[in-house]
Amino acid sequence: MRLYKTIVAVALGAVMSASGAIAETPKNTLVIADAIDDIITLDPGEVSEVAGVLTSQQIYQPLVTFDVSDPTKITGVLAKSWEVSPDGKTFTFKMNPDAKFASGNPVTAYDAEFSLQRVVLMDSRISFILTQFGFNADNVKDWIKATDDSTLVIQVGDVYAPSFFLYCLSSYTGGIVDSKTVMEHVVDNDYGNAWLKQNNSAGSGPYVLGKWDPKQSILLNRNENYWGAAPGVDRIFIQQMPESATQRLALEKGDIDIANKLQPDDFDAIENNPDIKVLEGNSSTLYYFGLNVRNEALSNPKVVEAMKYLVDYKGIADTIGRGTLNVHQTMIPAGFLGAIDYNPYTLDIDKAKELLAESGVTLPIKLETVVWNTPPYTEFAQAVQATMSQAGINLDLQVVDGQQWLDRYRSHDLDIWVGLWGPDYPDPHSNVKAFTVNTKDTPDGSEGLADRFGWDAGKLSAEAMAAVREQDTDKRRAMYEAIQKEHTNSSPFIYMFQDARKVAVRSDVKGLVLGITYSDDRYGGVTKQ
Amino acid sequence: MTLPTQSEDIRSDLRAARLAEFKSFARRFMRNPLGIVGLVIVIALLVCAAAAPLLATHDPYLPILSDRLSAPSAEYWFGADELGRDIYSRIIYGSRLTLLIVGLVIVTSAPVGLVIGAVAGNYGGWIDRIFMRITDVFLAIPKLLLALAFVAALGPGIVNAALAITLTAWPPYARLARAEALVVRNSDYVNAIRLAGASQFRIVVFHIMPMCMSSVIVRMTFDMAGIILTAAGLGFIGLGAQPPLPEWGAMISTGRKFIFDQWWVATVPGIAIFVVSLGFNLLGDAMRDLLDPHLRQRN
Amino acid sequence: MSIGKFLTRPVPPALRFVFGIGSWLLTVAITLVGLAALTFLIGRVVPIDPVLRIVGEKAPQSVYDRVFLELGLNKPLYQQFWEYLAALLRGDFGTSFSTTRPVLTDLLDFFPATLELSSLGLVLGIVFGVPMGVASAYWHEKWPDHLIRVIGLIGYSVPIFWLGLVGLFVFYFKLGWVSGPGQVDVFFQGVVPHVTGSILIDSSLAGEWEIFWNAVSHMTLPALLLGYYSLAYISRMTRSVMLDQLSREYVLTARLKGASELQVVVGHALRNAAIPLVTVVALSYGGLLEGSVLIETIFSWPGIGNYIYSSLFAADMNAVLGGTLLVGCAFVFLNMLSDVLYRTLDPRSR
Repeated sequence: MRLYKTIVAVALGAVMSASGAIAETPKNTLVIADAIDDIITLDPGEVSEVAGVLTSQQIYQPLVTFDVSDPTKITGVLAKSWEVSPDGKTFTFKMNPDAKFASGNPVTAYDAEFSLQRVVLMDSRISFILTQFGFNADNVKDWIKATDDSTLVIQVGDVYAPSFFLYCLSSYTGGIVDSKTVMEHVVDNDYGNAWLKQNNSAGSGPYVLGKWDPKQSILLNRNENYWGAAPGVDRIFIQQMPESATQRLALEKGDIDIANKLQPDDFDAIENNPDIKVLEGNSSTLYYFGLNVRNEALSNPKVVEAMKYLVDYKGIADTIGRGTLNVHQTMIPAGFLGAIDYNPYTLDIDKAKELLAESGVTLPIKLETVVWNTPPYTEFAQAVQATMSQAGINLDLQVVDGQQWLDRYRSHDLDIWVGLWGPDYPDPHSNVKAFTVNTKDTPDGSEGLADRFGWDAGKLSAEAMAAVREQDTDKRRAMYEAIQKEHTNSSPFIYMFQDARKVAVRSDVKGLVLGITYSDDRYGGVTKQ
Repeated sequence: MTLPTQSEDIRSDLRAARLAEFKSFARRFMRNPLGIVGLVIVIALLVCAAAAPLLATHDPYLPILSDRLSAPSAEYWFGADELGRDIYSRIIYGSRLTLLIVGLVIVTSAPVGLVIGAVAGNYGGWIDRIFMRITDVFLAIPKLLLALAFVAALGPGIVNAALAITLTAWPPYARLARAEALVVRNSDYVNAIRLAGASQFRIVVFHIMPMCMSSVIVRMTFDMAGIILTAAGLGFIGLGAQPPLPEWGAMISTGRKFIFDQWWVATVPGIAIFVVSLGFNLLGDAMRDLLDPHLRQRN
Repeated sequence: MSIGKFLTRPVPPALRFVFGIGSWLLTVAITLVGLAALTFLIGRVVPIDPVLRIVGEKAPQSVYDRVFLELGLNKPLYQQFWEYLAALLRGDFGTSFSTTRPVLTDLLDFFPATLELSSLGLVLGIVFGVPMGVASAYWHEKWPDHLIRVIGLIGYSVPIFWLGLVGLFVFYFKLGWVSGPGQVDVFFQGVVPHVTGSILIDSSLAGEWEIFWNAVSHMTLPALLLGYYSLAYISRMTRSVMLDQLSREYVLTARLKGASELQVVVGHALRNAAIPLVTVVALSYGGLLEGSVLIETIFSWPGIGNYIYSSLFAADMNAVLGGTLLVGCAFVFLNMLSDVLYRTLDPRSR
């Protein structure tokens, strides 16, 4: 390792001195600035932090994936083809015979079997994506089974829309590991978790893990045995650099190639810089206010409706968002199956006052509101605070660290949560289940956001479960459209914005494919010219 | 410390003597130009806090999103912040928060430290050792970390921030009071009172604690600056006053994002903190020169 | 000294020495256990759920419960503390879940960066602070004194994190004289082999002069800031110690004997002032270790302050405890050191 580093140092040093005063990253290295200090594991069977998933996506590959420009198109990666049985409960995958791991081992159905089973058997924190299909420690060895090297048969517990299951396999839970390599490093029956967690990888993707210095940096090296088109750069270096202004300066100076965490103000500053280009992509992240209906005032539907008129949606998007936020008032993000363009609410203080008068509550109302201390939350929460106070609704903002922010909403003891939601897989059910399905209707008894905020979705909950079981795509779309309108009007969620993804890169960076979430970018085809 | 046997004459003499002492104190104070600067700053702070609604030109809480991050101008003297609020008006209103925190910390930390120190010094023995070990433990933890952990435990907010600072601010008072108490408790007059049958409680409250006052006051004036800086540090980390309160440290924290393009957002509140804490330091310096008996002899 | 009062009977010097060491060790031990207890208690009442941090917000209840048990959070508080202490005595600081490494490894990784920065600050503080304090005392109440006192007071009054921001704006962004946040430029990171943990020493050892100068350029601003911070304290204390010395009779005697002013001030007064100054320096070192917390967050410095701060908000309690204990130990050690130095060096307290 040290010898290697010295070689890199010498190479970098040569480039540095050759290029003179202006720093520039070497052509064979892609330097990315991001916030990586929340990563606690890189094992694909349990990784779930944004930057952790981003890293593991470059190392591991799923059976199937989707087209980022049109998520409704599903294509094979490690699986070449698949079939669904007529009853909709059995999926048979044929593996891609060309695929091989970084170790040189071929990717077989047994590797896929091992990888998916271990997520369930480890009782991993991300196992919920699979267990919602009825897998558990007792049945998973029978339900997920390789019948030979090239055939994987998966049986699910109930009938669901086939695309729903395929999307789940395409998510970060579905990364396939090299079972032979991992088995060599099993300690205490841990399915290789301790070994995969920190400084090792066993994937089939374009890059392999070089070194992870927690809270500081991640180095990925080119996978010399990669079975697809050879990656365009030799190594990727992901540097911890959480602040937007710092990222921008580093990008301007050429210290980094890609800035993943820029804020609108910094995009303005680099607008006319010829060395930098801004890529726009889709993002399915939604920003919303969740109102806890356990609060007496908030249990009054008129109050909730009034509050939906007390947000300056357009003003915030135009001034604070400036191209990074689009007004979006439904629970399914644009680009997904069933998404609709339905934005009935605008800032209307008089209308809100009328509704509040009808509601019969005594004003002013004071509501405890928990906000994450990260832009853009603090800014738009304060803007909403100012407009709401004009109608007598006083938000007591508590700006807290990300971890506390999550704790608070899990513990139900707040009135309003200023939140975001990013789907785990590009199927509308990821969102619809979270916002609409009550615990009593879920097959695995998990708690969604509706229950977190004390809301009984009534018939919408059952309708949402019916929609995910619908086999006909057009019918399914129509069902979601109906559910959403009703949901936007009656739910205690104030949907405000959908994120518009923007990433600033040096202009010599080519071939970067932005995914549908912050953790879905694909660096495999990136080159620097 | 007036005893019931004293006559009216002695009382008026005492009053005259105190007046004279105050006059000489004031005269000597006026000779110290830096002390006067400090006093002026502190008075200005008090005026700002008292007359904030008169001095402010805008509503410090009302966002005008279209004027977001405006540069300093005739309309916005110190510019506008990330929500289009007037920074000048927010600074003026922020002086109230600064005074509130300083006041809260002073009225809680000094008495706590005083009592612990005086009791430890007076009783000695195991009580002394236990109290002083506790004091040492608190002194051994880095102040800012302790305050940080404490506010994190209690939840952010201005009162909690003040409590957290108190937690880190009392030990020096305890040490100071203990040192004075050790000297005083063996003095002849305390021994005389003790022989006369005064209770320990009475001795601590009426005889030892008053003797510690002058050094405590000097220490307090100095501490004010430290408190302001710690409070600003907590605000900067996001654990102090919560939005939309115009706390100066929190204002720097939001301005940090814009430091390279809109420098005024972070710079102006920093200057405010600096000026005020400098004022308290100058005042404290002057007070110490005047009140510290060792220095007084030399001048 | 109050301890002297307890020792009324004549005690053999050797025994007395053993006594002293013994009671000193006991004091240190009690203080450290107290420190650990206080940090532990605060750590457990912080309303951040460590389990949630590990399992994530979307994990099902069964996973949550499993991790809750694994962390031993079901046990009573005193038992958790006892187990922690017992492990500590074996040199086991536990594992940090946010870095997935043993806390001790982390501390050895992060502490040198803090030590390097604060030591540089201290050196700057001494190099400039002591002469300034001497000058201030020599020209007591004259304009150099006023000037130096104001410089010191400004150092006492300015929010150091703000000065850091303004410094970055002016010297990095506008003038480009120094490098920005971080220890070295991005792609110099992790290039130099980790020997001592100090980037300056490690890069010199590896002969990587380019990295060395790059690190210097990154370090200049934060080190200067910390230097200024300690200068304020050191110059002030030097002044008051020197004022005391210069008013002593031996100074007058030396002058009468015809010694030059330089000899009087440096040869006599400063030499005698050295003893109390050593304690001042030790104390200000402790202050610097603490002061580096905010500076480290401003300059993205990979030091212990940043480590504790980020771990606290991640509810990574083993990391917070380990880090705080380390800084607390350094603090206690420096305090004790200044105490011992004072007692052994100062003839009057013997």
